[in-house]
Amino acid sequence: MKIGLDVAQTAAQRAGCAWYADALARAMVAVGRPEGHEYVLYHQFGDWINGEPGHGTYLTGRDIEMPLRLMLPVPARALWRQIEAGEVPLPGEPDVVIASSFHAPRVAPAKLIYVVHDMVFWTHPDFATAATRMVCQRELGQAIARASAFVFVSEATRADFESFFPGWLERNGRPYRIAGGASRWDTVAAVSPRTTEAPWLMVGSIEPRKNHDCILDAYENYAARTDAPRPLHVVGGRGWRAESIHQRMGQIRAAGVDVRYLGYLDDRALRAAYRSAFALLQPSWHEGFGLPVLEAFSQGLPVIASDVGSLPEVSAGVALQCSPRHPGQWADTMLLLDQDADLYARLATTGIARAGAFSWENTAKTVLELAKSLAVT
Amino acid sequence: MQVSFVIPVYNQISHTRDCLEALTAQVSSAIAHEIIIVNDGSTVETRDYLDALPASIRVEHLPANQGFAGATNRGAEIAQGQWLCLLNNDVAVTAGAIAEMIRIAAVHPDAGIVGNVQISTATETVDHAGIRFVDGGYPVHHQPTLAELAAAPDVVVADAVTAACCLVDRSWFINTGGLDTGYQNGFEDVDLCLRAREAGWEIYVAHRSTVRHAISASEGRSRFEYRNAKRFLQRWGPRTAALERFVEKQSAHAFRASRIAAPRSPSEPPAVQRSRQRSRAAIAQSPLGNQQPTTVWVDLLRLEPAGANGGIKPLVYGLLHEMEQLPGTPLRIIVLAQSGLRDELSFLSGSSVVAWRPLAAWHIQSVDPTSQPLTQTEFESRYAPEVLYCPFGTSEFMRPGLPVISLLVDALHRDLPAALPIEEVNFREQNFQRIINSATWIQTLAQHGIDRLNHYYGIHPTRCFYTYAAVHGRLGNSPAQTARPATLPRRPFFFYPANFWPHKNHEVLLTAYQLYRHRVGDEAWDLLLTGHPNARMQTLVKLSESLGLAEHVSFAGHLDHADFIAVWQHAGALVFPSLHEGFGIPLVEAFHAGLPVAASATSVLPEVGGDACAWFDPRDPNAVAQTLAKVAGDPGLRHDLAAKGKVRLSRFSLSFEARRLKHFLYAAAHHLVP
Repeated sequence: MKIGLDVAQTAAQRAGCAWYADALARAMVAVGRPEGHEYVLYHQFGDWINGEPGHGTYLTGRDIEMPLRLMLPVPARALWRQIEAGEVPLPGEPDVVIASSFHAPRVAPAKLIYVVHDMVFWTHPDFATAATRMVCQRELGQAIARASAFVFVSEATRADFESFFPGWLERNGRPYRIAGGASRWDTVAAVSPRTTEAPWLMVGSIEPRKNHDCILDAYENYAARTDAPRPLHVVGGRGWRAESIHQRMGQIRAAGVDVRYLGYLDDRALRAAYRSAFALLQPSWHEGFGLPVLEAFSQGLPVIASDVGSLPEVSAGVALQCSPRHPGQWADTMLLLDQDADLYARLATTGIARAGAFSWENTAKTVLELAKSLAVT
Repeated sequence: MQVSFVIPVYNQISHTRDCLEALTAQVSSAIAHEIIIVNDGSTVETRDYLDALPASIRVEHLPANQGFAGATNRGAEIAQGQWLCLLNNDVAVTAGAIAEMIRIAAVHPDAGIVGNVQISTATETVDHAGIRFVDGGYPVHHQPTLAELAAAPDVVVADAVTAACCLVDRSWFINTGGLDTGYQNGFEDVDLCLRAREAGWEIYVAHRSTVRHAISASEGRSRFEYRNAKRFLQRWGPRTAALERFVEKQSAHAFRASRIAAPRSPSEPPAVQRSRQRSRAAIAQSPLGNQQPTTVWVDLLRLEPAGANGGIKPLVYGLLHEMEQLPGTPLRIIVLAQSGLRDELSFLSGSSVVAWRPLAAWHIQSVDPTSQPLTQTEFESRYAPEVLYCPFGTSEFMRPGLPVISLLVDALHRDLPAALPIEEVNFREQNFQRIINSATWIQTLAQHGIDRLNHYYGIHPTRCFYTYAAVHGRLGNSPAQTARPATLPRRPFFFYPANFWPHKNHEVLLTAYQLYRHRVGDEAWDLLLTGHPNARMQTLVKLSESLGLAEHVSFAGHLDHADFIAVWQHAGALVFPSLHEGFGIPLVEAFHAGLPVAASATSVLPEVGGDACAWFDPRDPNAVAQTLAKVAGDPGLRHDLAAKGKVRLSRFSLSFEARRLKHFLYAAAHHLVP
């Protein structure tokens, strides 16, 4: 079977959906290769046209084609318009295409598997830009008409989808799977001891949905209530309405409190950050999956997370939960974790066990099995 | 107190001394006056000199240099006279100069600013006797010879005067905020004069009032010339360019009249004499611009048959139809259109000329009885345009010196760039820049449009006007209900007329409708969608089918007039979930038809709908579904909304808007301020 993989988002700085697309592609290749499947990677997909060619997931092998990796944006846009109009076939002519960048172009006669990361553009319209919303709702409309199967990254996302299209999946007999992500690193064997300077860590692009305001409020509260407050490290790239957050961090730093913005970190630096941190804070207003939680668990880090979206499902009770509306709760929990070493050790150990339950191999197997079932029908 | 002299000073003690000597010597004590000197951050030397002046001269010290505008404004604030005399410190008044200006101001009650003649001390020639506009609206001093000045009348009207020496009505000056401090030592005076004209004041030049000016003595003028000129032209450029052209036409007309009046040779053949008398009579009978209809070119070359253009077509047709029928000074409307619109444009009366452009050829055909195709040059000379109206913003017929009114429907490419392909965004941005640089007036469809243009492009609101798109009249005046056509849904239905563009938000509507049906069950109303069919409509049809709505959602395509009216008569409610609109014509049509309206609370719609709609957030399908259920399930609410709609309708009158547009077209053609 020839499987088409959408890796268009991986060309930019990877976070969230882009990370998922890249990891899924690698895992699919690793799992499907022994069974003799072939792969086509699309670095320009539908309306997601990358300005600079040559970036993105790069996999080698005789069974892997990357026909659009070096294509310039203008011819790529023209090509996809022709594909949409039905004038040319899809390059590589796969049997199944897995679309993981929210775009659902016309891929007939191949079957389309549409990955839904979240429905934030409709459930929380304030946390998505107008541009994102226009694209997502248009493409979702196309996916409903075209997709043969759906993949939801979490049960919470599936419930959101169901709330907008009640009973639709069942009535129309569209198969679906829940296939979440996993940590990109191997789970550590044991928890390493943390120094007293080990910082609180927050990982996530600077945008309103990640709720940096809550953490900064909570941290100020916490720092005022303890003698030796741990520093706060904020990791995350891009930025949408980020100026106020940066300004606030500057003000707090000027007041003498240790808050550091580390920007976007690559693999090694991020793993080092996780390993040397004290705990992860995840105060998002909404998450489709929440990869940093699993990544923290895999490095033996306890997590304090919001009680919304997919976070309770992914952490399965291992993370300490607080409301994203109340920074006071977060400050209290941070103090508790600081003082109670037994609790810390317990959380770290159960976290390691929880991380072990997720693997990209399992996700890839689920998706591959779904693709195989489609190719048969 | 009659006059307050306001003199900003920045060093140059010798000039200031001469100026004050001349003032004290020449201004008679009959005129109650005060002298205010504003020390604009000068050196210590100057400061000491000013402090040593007699107490009758008021001195105001500013901590730092603020430029001519800021210093003058400060002086005006503390002044007490009825008139301000703005005076440069390198100007020396002569005997009777100020008295003459005051006399002119007293004789002309509509005088807001009075200027005078300034002689340059260096060359002993006239440096300034008024300001006119050349080279596309750039202000220059009018510099006649002394002989010409002596022959000219005592007072003339001018377009602008310099503030080196001028009288300004003080209360108006304070109310309007004084000089614009965005300028740096240049152009503030011309800007002030144009604002005065806009406010209805006249500007006079007193030819018998002379002062002596040591020009080029103030430093720093040329340094900011470019920046000042750019700022000035951005705000006033197209207006002063039109003004310049009108002045040219006036003087050309006067020249022709004077040439015709006198015989060329002593012994004229009688035929030539008769012809000369006829021309003289013709010119005497038709003073420039008063009786002749103003020729307006309306560029509709981008208009296509049927509904592909959306709401702009009924708007333009409606305005043209109304403008033809308005009483008063006639407009001669020349419509330029594609030949495919022949049938649609038959509503235009014979007084308007329609010029067709066949698809292949480049020359323009006229529907006059002569029916001979004209070349472009012949056409332009026979129907020479005085003003160009562009409902699509730009036109290939734009050229320097021709006043233009451009309609900018919305700034969609800035508000929601994701709704347009990237080439369209770039194309519109280019067009907007071109329009902003060349349009005399910019027309929008609501105050919201003017706010958006100001927000994105800094266009001053005085360059814009709006006309509501009150085209509900085309629906007729609701005769007795016709029988329900078989093509319409059996059950009561929601109606959404919109072409299938991304910002019309059909995906959210279909999802919300599906949710509404899921919650309400079989009692639910149906949904009728109209719009010009295209590939995107097919995609939405497929979506509707996939959601299982094929039996209840109908895509009627583009309806002809009779079917369209039938829909308005039989629909249960209008639903309008659009994310962005220039006006939202269907809202007004729904008010006219007595339908309740559920509309999205974004963009211009709240301005149009007011309290007469059930508002929802168009970004959230749940909110839309809730509103659908509320409107469908509550007859009392529907009745209430329909009643409020009828009341709201009184704000929208097409004849009023057409009259407004005609007014602006006329003003643009004749450089008047409306």
